[in-house]
Amino acid sequence: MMHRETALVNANQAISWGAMSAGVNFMSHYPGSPVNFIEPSLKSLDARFNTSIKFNDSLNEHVAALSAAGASFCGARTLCVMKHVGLNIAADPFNYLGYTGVNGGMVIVVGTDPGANSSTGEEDVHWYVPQFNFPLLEPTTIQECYDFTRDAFSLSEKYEIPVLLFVPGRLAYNVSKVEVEVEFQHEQREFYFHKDDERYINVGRRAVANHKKLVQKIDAIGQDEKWIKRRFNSEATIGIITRGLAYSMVYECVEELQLQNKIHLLNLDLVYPINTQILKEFTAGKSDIIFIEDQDGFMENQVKMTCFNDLKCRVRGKDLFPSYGELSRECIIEFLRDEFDIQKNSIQSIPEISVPERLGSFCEGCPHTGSFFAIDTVMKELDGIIGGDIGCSSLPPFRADWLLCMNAGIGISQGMAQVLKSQPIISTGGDGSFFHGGALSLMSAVQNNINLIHMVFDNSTVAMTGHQESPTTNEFDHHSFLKAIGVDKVIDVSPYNPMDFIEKFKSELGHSGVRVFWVKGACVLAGNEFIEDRRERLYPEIDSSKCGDCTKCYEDLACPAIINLSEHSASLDLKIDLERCVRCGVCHEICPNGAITIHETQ
Amino acid sequence: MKGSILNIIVCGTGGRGVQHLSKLIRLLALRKGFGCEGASFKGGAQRMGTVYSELRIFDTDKFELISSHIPMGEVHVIIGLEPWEALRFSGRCSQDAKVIVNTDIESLFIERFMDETLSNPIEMLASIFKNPILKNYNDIALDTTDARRSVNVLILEDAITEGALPFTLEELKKVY
Repeated sequence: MMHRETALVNANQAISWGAMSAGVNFMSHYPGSPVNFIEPSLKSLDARFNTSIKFNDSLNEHVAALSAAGASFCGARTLCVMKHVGLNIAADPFNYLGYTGVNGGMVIVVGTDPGANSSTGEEDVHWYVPQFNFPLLEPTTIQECYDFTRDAFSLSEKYEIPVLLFVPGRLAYNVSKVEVEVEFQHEQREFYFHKDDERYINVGRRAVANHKKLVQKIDAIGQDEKWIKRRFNSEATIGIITRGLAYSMVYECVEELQLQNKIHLLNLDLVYPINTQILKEFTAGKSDIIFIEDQDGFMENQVKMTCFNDLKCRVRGKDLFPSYGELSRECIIEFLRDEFDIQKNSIQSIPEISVPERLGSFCEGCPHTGSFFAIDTVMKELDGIIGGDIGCSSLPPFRADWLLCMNAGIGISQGMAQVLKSQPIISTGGDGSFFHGGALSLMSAVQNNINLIHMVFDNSTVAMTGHQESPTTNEFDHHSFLKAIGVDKVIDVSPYNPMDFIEKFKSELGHSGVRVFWVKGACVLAGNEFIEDRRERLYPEIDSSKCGDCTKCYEDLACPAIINLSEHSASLDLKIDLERCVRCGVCHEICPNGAITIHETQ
Repeated sequence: MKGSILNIIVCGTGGRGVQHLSKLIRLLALRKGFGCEGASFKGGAQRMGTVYSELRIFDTDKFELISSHIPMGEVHVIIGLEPWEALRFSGRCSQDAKVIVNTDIESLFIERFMDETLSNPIEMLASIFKNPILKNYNDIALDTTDARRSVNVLILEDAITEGALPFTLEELKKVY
């Protein structure tokens, strides 16, 4: 009998426990909130239980998908993790893995983000699912994150098909008690790639034959698998169908309004493929079916499509509930009150006070602070365009001119550079996005003879998602790399010497070709030697008698350690908060009045 | 607990320990046999962005399943590690909500770029909530001889003493 214990874990950890319990052999991932803690959690479990899991800390989701496929083809149980926008990058290989099928169970965990709490968009990636033709499981609780991950491996091996698990941000960071297995006998597998051109040479008639097999598998899963929950009154004429977190919301609302006798609730744990038999049974005798789900109404759409001729009742869903933002509990309560003529309670609440949204900012001593001071100083004078990219460098939303997707900095900028005549343009991006796909974009700029300056902020880590390693974490010869791909000129600059940065930047503006500014400065939260050397030794001070109120340090550099003590918003009394200051010295460098002095600590 | 579900918002800014404090409350609840649902939101910023947790402590005998969403107007307790952030959730609070807030202000970072005049969040908290506990827990922590009694622990001690949380100081001591 397996030994189980109760663990207090978040959903990221529950998934890693589930994978460990299922005997996972291989994990690939590209870090992204809200599923960025699965990999460190599984690494920790691997060390604890000495299970020799192979990890591929992939440079993008495309590689994560393909390397997971490779390991699975050889018989390894494989976990592949990415966030919802990463699924766009991985979509190409996933379109083929249904055709080839897999050998070792392959589970793909995707962090979704209704409400865009930690993403640049709340894209509904459910629409990929029928295109990939992979089964999709959606947990409601953290215990289910654990259970479904284990079960997904079995389901994947039973049908030789990758299985998707979608985890929304609201669930991903929640913490709860979970029953986990703590003694595992990891099955010893002999990994071997059995050549099979009918499966893996997926072209022409083979592709069509493999597609047919995939459709048959999905049909079989749709008939065989019964991953559902039914609650409340099966005789009720009104049925509600939910998936994921909507289930717990509807459940609670029904109980609160005491509608248990008037509603029959069905939750689909297996959201794709739809088990049509269950749907037919559930809808029989109902006058109304209401789909309550977040985002675009994928489940409603699927049911309407697959059960169209069998739905004899009124069907509602996205005509009642919005497709944007998180699904609101108030919206569900309001609908149920209207539907069942329940009077509204008058809620006596505290008045809402409008508090301005916090603008993002760089940390004190962050290398991006000096970099953007230099870039802004030059580009403001020219009304120039600054292409922005995903990562910490885009945290203050006003520093670059767009913030969209990975590699949008150099990608969009080069198209602009090809058509613009007089407006100067540069692109920016961190080392994480550079290796994710930016390097290819740069090669494309070289290939197309585009005149462009690209700035790579090399902070030696993938900072934003938890300081995962980047190729620059260890020694990386960027000069050789950039020379090899044909970059015309590489200029090394320090973000802690912004005046030199400005000078070099200005001198490049009139020239042509693809030029890369390599801005080297480690993340201050991950060990920055320059800062650590100065932190105990030095302290800065503003001499108010010399300060000319130019606001270069306060507004242009915008270091959070520089604060205004004046009680009147129109005047300035700038000081350096030494509790916050990390002694990077950039304020001293950029002050035109010599009002900021760096002292040696006595 | 009110209606057998106690809805709590723990809020602050990045780096102030919102996640740690939320974890302490979860631990206290689960050790006492309550259920605890919730969600944490930490945005994309490394530091200085809005971070908050919604926590719902409930009697597992009465509720089989509850969602992580706190109903509008039903926040019973705000534990604020920063006053602006506590103020941000005022509209979600019940009229008799208990509010315990560290008065150490983290600049919104908006004032240096805009001409907007911002009010004092501590004064606003004092005016809209009944008997809020507003203290500078950073200063208190500096004066405390027991190094383990950090800001998080001190604010939790006050929340417990004020009856805002269904725990005892002895139970708290066992988790930090």
